[in-house]
Amino acid sequence: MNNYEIVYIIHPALQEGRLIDIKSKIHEKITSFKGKVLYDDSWGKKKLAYAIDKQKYGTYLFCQFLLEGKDVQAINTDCELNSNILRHLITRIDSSQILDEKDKKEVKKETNKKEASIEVVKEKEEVSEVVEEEKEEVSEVVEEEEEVSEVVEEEKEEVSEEVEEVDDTIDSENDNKETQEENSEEK
Amino acid sequence: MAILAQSRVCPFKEDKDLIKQIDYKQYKFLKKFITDQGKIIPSHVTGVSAKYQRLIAAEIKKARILALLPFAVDPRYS
Repeated sequence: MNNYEIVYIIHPALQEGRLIDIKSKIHEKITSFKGKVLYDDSWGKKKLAYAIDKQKYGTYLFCQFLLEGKDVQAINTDCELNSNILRHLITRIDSSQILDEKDKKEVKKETNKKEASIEVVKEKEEVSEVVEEEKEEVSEVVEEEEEVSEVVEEEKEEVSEEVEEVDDTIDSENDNKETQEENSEEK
Repeated sequence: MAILAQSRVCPFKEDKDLIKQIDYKQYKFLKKFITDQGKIIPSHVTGVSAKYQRLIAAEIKKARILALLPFAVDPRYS
């Protein structure tokens, strides 16, 4: 006997009475194979990340159960043949992953705390990415000027760095660039 | 890129409790490891160790089957 969990999405147009029918059918199927329903939950109506059978919403139902491995296929085919179930997923789980009624509230509290700590890590990453982008900009400037002779390139690298530092003097330095190009042509 | 990867520490080695959150049911946590387009972010960018990157990738794929996370997002239509 192994522990499994199933998540299935039900058509959004169905009313609550029909929902309970589908749910009880699956639970009956599990118990008919000498299995046991350990945990049962409804995630409610959610917006789907992408449309399934032209439906943008779906009702999520969740169930953990104990069952013999060879009988899982019967429940899988049941879900496939039921046209009211848009999508389903059966996964095998450890006994440590079985949830209790108490876990419903605790899980939500834990996630709030840990999201905050992860966000701090993300901010650090963003800072380093900004540094990267600045480096790339400098290299792009260099690539554009490949056609000009090497001596002029080196001079312009220095000029471009100065441009980033001081915005006010851009115009005067552009004039300098033009004079340098004229000089190189003469050479 | 190599320098950046060295400077980063795996978030799961710093905080062991985060490992429990690698689960397709907690898809809001997994959203941190996908881009705006829905792609899985490579570990050399996030600094996640190979051990947990494998877990994250598997759980994201489960969440995609259940339409909890997108396979792909076209920025023109979102």
